[in-house]
Amino acid sequence: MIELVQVSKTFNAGQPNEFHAVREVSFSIEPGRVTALRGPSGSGKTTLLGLIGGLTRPSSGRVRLDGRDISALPERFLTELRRATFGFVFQQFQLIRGLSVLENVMLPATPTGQPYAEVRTRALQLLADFDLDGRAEAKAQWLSGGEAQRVAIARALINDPKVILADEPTAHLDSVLSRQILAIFADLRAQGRSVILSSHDPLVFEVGLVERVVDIRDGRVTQA
Amino acid sequence: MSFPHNAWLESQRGLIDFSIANLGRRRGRNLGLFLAYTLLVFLLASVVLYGDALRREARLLLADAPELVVQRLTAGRHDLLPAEWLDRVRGLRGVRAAEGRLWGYHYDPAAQANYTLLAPNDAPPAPGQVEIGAALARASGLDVGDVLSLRGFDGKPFAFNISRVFEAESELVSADLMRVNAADFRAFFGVEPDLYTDLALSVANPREVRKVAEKVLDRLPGARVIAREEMRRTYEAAFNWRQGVLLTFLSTILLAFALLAWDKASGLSAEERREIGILKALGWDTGDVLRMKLWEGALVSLCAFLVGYTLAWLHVFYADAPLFTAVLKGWSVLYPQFRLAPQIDLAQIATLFFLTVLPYVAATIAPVWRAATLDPDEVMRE
Repeated sequence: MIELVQVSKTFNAGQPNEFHAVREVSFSIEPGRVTALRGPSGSGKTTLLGLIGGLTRPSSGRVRLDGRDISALPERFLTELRRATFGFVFQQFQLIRGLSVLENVMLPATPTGQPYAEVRTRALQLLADFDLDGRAEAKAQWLSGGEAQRVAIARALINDPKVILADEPTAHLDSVLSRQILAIFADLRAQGRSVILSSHDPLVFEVGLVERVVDIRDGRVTQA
Repeated sequence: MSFPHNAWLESQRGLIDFSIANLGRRRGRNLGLFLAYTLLVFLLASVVLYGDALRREARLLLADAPELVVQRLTAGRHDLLPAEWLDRVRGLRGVRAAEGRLWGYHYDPAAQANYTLLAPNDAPPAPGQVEIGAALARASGLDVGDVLSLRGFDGKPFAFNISRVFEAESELVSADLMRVNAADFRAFFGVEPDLYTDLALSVANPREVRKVAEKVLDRLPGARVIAREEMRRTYEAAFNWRQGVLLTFLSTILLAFALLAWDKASGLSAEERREIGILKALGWDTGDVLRMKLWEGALVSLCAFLVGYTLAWLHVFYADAPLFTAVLKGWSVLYPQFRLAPQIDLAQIATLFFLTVLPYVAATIAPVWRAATLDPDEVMRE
């Protein structure tokens, strides 16, 4: 269970370019479901995902994971949490250019000290699951949008997280590829994982995948 | 998740793998940096290795030198001394042996070079014969059996038959050396039979050298006494000074490299910052990012250090250090050409290492640390 209590996030606080991305947001997300944060560009969806996943700390308010307040955790614990609990799929894929697909997928496991061979086997299995067997040695920048998104999902799964956070997962894909990606999320849901995604793509909400919608506008929740 | 006990090693291995992959991604830039770094280490190490090896060589040569050398000063200048001085020092307590030495310099206008002529007391060449240093042999194109013709003090030509060319090992001082018979020496320079260039004294007890020197001065006012230890110090000072000149020159290169490293260090590109943000978002903490960058810096600088030092070692010990010959070996026209004894000095390697590798690694870590301590969210938004 993830709970947000009166969470606000302000960037560049006290400076002329001060910006309130999220304002006093409170809602909770049940585990094992697909939850979507819906709203127009700039409404604060990405910031909310970052707050939930411990990428950034709230300026005020609390974020709780299974009852534990994670908003004030020291960096080391927050990192541990990010590593073990959350898998991130970023809007721009955020693969590292110059590295191979396999190397990109293995990245989150690198500092954990898991045996290399084990991680490699798992990464190759994930690539096979996503029909990317032949692309393991390809450089990240050679991939098509659909391939890059599947690699990003494989990377998010390498540490076997309970929660997948996906920011606008269909933003750079056509309808066919978008449906493929959403089918993958349905599989992850079937495996018992929580999926939290942000989107304003109508297709995401039409396919029957999303079980709960949180509407956001101007940094506030309009309907949870 | 449960990890085996060698998780730390595994994570370091992972970080090293990533560092290597990372270096490969910016091949051009890293190669340029590696080459500049290697050049710097090569130059610095060459100077240090060469200076040290020369000093060691000089020390070895001086080991055979007499404990005390007695010269005569006239109006503050070195002058020939009378043979009767020999008898006066022989009677001193503590003096084991004393002998008169004959040596001097000759300028050969044909070769435009100075030669050092010496009449050895032990195994002198036969009358009319000469033994010459290798550099002299090279410069004159002469070899054993040839005739070396020089003009004596009175302008008359002197013909010496070359009976031997010295071995290369002793070339530091023997490069321009001619060994001749004492009678030939006196005839060539016009030195009277009762005069010597200086005296060589051996002292029975090394701890009495200073005392014996004082006694010699008492008995021979107007003499100058030079201890072997002083000669050693003079050699050291000369080589230190020359090495200092070169190091001063090299310090400009060092400075240029420091600027290069600083530029690279302070200029983390937007791309690099974004990547650090991605790594942090994926579960790397600040320490992991720093360790990875440390490995990266260490790999570049260690490789450059090893390659630079090895090249310097080959340059000095197997290629006769052509870059530094003129400055470090001496003022002579006939440069000694010899192989210095290969030597590895761990303290010296450590000094060079700390001078070159540590500053670089430290310089590269600072900006990474700045980027790595930001929230990943913040880095990725930039």
